[in-house]
Amino acid sequence: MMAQYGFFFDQSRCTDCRACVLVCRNWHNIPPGAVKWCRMFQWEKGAYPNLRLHFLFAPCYHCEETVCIRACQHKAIYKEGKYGAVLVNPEKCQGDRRCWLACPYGAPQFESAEPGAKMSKCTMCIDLLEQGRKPICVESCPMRALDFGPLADLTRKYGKARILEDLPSDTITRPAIVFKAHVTKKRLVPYNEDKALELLRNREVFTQLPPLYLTKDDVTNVPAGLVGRARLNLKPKTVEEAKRALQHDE
Amino acid sequence: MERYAGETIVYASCSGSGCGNPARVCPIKVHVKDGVLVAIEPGDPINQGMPREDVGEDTIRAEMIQHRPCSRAYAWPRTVQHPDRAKYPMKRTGERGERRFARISWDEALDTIVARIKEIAKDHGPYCILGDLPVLQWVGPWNFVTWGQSSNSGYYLPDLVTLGYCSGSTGVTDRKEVHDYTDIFNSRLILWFGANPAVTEQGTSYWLMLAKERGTPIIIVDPVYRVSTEVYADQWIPIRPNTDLAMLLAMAHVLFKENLYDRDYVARFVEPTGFQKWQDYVLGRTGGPDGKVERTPEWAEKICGVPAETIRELARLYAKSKPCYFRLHRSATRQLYGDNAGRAAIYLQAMTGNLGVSGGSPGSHIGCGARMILPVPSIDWKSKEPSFPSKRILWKRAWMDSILLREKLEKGEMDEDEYRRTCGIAQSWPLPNIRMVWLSSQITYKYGSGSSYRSGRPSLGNPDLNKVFQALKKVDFVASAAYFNTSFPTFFADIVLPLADPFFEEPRGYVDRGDASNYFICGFKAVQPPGEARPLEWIMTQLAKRFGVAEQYNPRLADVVDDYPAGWDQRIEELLREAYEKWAGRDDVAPRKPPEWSEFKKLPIYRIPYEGPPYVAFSENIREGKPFDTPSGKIEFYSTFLADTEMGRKSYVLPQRKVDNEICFGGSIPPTIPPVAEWLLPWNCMLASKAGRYPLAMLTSHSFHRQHTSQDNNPWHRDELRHSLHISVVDAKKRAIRDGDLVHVYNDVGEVIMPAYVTSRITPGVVVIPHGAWPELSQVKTNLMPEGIDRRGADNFLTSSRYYPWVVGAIRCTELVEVEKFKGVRHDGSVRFLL
Repeated sequence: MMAQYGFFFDQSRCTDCRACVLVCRNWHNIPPGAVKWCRMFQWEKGAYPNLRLHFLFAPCYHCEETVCIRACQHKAIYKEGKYGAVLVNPEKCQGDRRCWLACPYGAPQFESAEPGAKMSKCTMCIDLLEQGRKPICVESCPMRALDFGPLADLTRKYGKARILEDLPSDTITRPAIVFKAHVTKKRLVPYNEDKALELLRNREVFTQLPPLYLTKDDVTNVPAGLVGRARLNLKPKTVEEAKRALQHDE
Repeated sequence: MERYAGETIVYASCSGSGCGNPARVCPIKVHVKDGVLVAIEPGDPINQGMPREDVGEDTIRAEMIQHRPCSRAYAWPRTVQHPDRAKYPMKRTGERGERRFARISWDEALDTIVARIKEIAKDHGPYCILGDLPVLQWVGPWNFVTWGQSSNSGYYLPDLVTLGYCSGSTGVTDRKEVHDYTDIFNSRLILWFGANPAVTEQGTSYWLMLAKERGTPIIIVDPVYRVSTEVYADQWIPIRPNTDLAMLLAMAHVLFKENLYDRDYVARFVEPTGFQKWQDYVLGRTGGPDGKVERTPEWAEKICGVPAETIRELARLYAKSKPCYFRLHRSATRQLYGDNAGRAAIYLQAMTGNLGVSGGSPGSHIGCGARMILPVPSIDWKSKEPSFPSKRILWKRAWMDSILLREKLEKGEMDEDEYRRTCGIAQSWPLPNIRMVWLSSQITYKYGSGSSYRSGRPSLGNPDLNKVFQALKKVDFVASAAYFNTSFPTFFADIVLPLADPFFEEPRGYVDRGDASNYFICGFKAVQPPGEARPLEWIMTQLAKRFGVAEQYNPRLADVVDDYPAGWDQRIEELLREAYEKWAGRDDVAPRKPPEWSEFKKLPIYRIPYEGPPYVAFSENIREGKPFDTPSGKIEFYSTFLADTEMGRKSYVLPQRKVDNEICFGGSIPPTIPPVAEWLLPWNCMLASKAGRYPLAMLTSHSFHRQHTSQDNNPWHRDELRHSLHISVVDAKKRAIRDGDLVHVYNDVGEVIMPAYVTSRITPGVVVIPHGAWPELSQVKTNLMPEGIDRRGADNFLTSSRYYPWVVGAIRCTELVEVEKFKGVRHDGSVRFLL
């Protein structure tokens, strides 16, 4: 049986600092622009003052069921035997993007929208693995929120979760990643939200100032398209959209 | 493997640019091929590749886990190799600020600077040059240094007057006064006001996360749901900006009313008269500026926007969760009257007996870190005693005013007393007369980051950037040493000298974690600087040579200054070796058997484990009864220094040690900072009448992708960061702004145009601009923006430089602005933009 190595991502530790993204681009010397082998996503859910930020570490998950390999008519993508890394042969790649259409995670990367632009992607840092090391993103995470190893070991150590909230189903591709979701917030002291929003609305404390808003709804009703990154956008359709989906404002 | 063939590895450190301590030293391994920096990886000598804390509890508690660099470390190749790097000396050919330069030789550049300094000094006398030019200490009394913190205000004054503790870069420092990181594991509650350690204190950040995983509850009070709030907080309590003090007063009220404070601790360690005054004030027996008011949670809730029930329950939880690690600092104190909130935080920790005990904290900035337990090698430069040691004579933030008001002073339109108070110059100090500005963005290797030799360096960190332009246009001569001659404010210089990168293009030498450390690193030179760029120390030594003082200023490099890089680099390596060997022979080091130099050079990081229980700040005062360095020797809620009506004219003397701290709080007479922390309404906060015109409270924050301003032009970072104005859902809706829209942000100080980030993470009525974006000045000039409207969004175009004498540093979080969707026409219709 083929060995399968994979990643572990601890969402409860991640601060979305992007050290993984930048160490990857620097290590593999990927020029500025659209291509990121390691991507970080941030999205927000809920409304003031009850909200959560979600962070996702997204290299290639080197799936056990490789829909990208099946989709490629040029046999440009293959699964390497020692670690189960999904790799691309640039000589065979024709840039027709069938792999991108197939991959639910948007892992295949293209420099531009030009037809024929070749695909590149995360290599699992297979050269480092050969030296007995771990992928550079894992070795660099300041919060030690990442791990890497044989998938079976990771499962033993961190559990079976192969999916996080808002991610596509893991049943078809079986991504080689184990997730730990961020932890539920606790309320240590009572906090009456309606009362707080009423207090914040009223600015007439020391001097005459009009209220900041009229109703609670003005704050908590968030129309579609208003906020930045209201959802996880793993597969942006244009280079422009990708640029935005992969930037944060921190 | 082909990838690594021909690569050499050099250890360096990413640090020193004011990175949130104590994680200031991040060891990095630099890969170099054919003289080019090809890649950077974390320099992790003790747990490389170890994904988690797979080392056992003892190792964690001994801090034998290598702190890893943040994203900023890995983007350096694209900054160092940036096509816009300054490569040759240049002189200005157009008007000042027009950005027109022509290449000149090093000789011409250096000779011009020396000639101009001599001329200006002859015409204008002492203290006429602003900027870090330490070499002038051997030439004449022309240069001077400034007091005050660049940005750390707030925690400085509270620590000083309440605890007699001196942090910061001015005068005396007590650098070991911290709690070791691991002491946070002993806390039963962690309570933070206004900090974002995930971005600004990545060292602390990691230990906070470990504490959280060990089950310590964390509450964060902040107007913004920051990444730290997401990752660390069990509960977020949103609060209106600038109102933290009201909440603390109400918490104190609960402690008094319900008898929840530690009477025994207070009796032993708190000066009783001041304590009584504070109690009387909180309970409404005596009045503050707003009269006699009981500072109840019901009083506070209208101000803070935090329900009274929440404040009351938080006070009760706080009182019973001992020890509590409580910190209120940085953004919560970098505001108008922020010093009062900072002082109240210390009072609360003293009231509850949490100050100076394990698991507690002093409530102010002093807090999480790690004490210095290891001596660090240092080069003996053998400089002669300077003939003109620099005097500290001006408040850092007042350098522009000292230039712009000079004319008034000379014409007699402003009397000297007022000029002194406005500029933070004590009565006993000489007056500066700035006619030249040196705009170096770095201090020299020789005067490392631990040095107190720092002047008010004009930078993007200055408030009111338009005033910076005005002041720079007024002086006779402006010179700069810089990495980019297009950067602000270097493009205002008459002469620009190209600077070698201090991390990679010159040996950085020995660096420790700054405040404290159990390890140090020696950074070596990795690559040659581009073009004719040179290290700052080389520039200083060349200037010294031209002044005829090279042998006095820098005797150990003077003879190799004309043999750069070969002779220079070789000499520095010899000096590093000499320092190492001297260190290794010390009585307190030798028994540890440190490696030989040749071995150390291969892996130049030396680390020892912490032993015993974690260090606790002020434990010697609490456990052993050592007096605090306050007039009474106790924790003082009431400051006799601040009560002195002549305070504004005096510099601060540490009472027990009788050391002049060279700080003058300047400002108005009588002073406006109350002797005991009292509630005052900041006149430019969102509840003040000015909010009728500019309704949004503007905060500034730090970004993951800049260290202050450095690396802002790095294209990799720009791929990760959208520099934007953060605005709440309700405020965006009201203005028909959607995420990504361009917005026009303005107030009575300046105006900028930038994209909006619309989010529910922010309290209604508040906006945030992350600090440090480099301005992009458009051709559209207005009265407020005579050099052109900034279309990028540099925060300090919108911050006022009005001098608040009781604030030692800068005010980052008390401004009001208005925001409109950008429609191509200025808000008052006066200007049509063609951007």
